Amino acid sequence: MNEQELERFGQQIKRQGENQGGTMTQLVYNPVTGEFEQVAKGQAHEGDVVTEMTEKGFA
Amino acid sequence: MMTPERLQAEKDVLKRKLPCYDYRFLDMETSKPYIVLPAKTNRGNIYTIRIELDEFPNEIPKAFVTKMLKTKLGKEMNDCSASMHTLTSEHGYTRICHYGYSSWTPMVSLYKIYVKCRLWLEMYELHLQTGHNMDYYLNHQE
Repeated sequence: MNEQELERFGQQIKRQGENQGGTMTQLVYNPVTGEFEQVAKGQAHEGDVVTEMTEKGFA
Repeated sequence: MMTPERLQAEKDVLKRKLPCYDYRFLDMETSKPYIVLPAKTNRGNIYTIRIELDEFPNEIPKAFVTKMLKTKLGKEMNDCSASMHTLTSEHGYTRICHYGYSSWTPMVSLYKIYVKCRLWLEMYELHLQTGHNMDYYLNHQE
């Protein structure tokens, strides 16, 4: 990811936290690549959906 | 302290989820056992996560990045900071605030804690890029 992609990724994380389930994307951690990805809801093919970590608050 | 059955279950999950990762359980026969796991961010930087297991899973385990990180302004991340999701450091390491008491249960796996620490690192690097505090991106639990 370049800097622009990372900032876009961060803004999606922020929106998920604000909207708590109202966004159209899911946060997925792909343990094979070791990377986080934002994918359209229901489109996660590989990896673990971890959107709850952003939607329910981090800590 | 983990039961042998829980330890095996954690190892099984990590083996399945992180098959290529060189994580290590250390000092397991002592009163201060811990696990270290490598973490590579989307940007390609490499860190090591240390999770202390002495009270796990009944209490929230302490989780550290095994170095003292600094904010974009150069301040050491060694204290309890709600805006940066950190707790008071130990061992000279930055300590990640990863779960609150309201959300912790003994069912939370080490793998899940690891993924939260990875997410924290991702937001830390965004903080370095943009200057936003980490709670700009990561909400607080209620």
